[in-house]
Amino acid sequence: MAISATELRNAIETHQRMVFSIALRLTGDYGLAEEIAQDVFLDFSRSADKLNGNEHARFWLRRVAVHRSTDALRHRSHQPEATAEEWVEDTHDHSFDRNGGAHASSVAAVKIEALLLAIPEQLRLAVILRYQEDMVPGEIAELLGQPIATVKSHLRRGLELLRKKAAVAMKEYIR
Amino acid sequence: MSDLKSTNEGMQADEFEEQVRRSLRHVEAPKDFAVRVLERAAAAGKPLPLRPRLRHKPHRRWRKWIGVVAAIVVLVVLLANQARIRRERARVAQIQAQFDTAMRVTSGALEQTRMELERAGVNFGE
Repeated sequence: MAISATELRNAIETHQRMVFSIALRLTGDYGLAEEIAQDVFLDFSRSADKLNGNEHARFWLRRVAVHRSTDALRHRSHQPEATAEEWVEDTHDHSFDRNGGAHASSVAAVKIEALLLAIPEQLRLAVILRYQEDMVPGEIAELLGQPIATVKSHLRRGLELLRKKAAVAMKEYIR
Repeated sequence: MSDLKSTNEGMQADEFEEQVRRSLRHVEAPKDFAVRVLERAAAAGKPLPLRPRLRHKPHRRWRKWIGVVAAIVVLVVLLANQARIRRERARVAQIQAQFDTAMRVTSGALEQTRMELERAGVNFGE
């Protein structure tokens, strides 16, 4: 291990919600998200000595979480798009309710999360980084190694698609 | 592009964007997540169990095979030697038998000649 157990524990406690949320929202699978998040922190424990400060560590963790999640999606046989409608129902029963709290308290929030899984991966990724991680397009472009115009396009299309799906699936919640 | 502009340029985001933002709050990691990661990290950091020294393994194997081959060679040599001794003894026994037979024949012929000479009146002075 390149860092001590205490340093690793501190890093996990600081960033675990971020890493786990990226993996969960990208894959839509609670168990897989935990596996990915664990792998991200194990990678971090081996590479932490090369990182300079908390911001660098946060950037690195986000990037590795994104890469590992997209890799996991590619290895998975089923496509979330195909089961998006069923997932809207399932999610409320099994997935995010495990954590209780404000997150699952809003049906609209749960439905938006489910609809997010129904949009293409690249658009979903841009939306997650923009609205979950509160990153601006320039930061997203740097993290993903993409041109900023591509990121903006993904964001715009992702949000439009999400809005259209929401208009159909949850018209009672959309004003 | 209006949604992006609204958020990027500090303007008021629309209600839907705000709803998306609220929906995508960070989720709590599973219970004992940190403990499980630390356990895995500790397990990954442990030295691997010592393996038998491969460098000496073939040597020991060779030694074992050399012993087996040597034992077989010694056994073959001993058996061949015994066979050779048995063959020699049989030859000696055969020669001895031929010699005995020859002696018997010679002795008989001599006795026959002596008796015929005695009958003819030759005295051997006994």
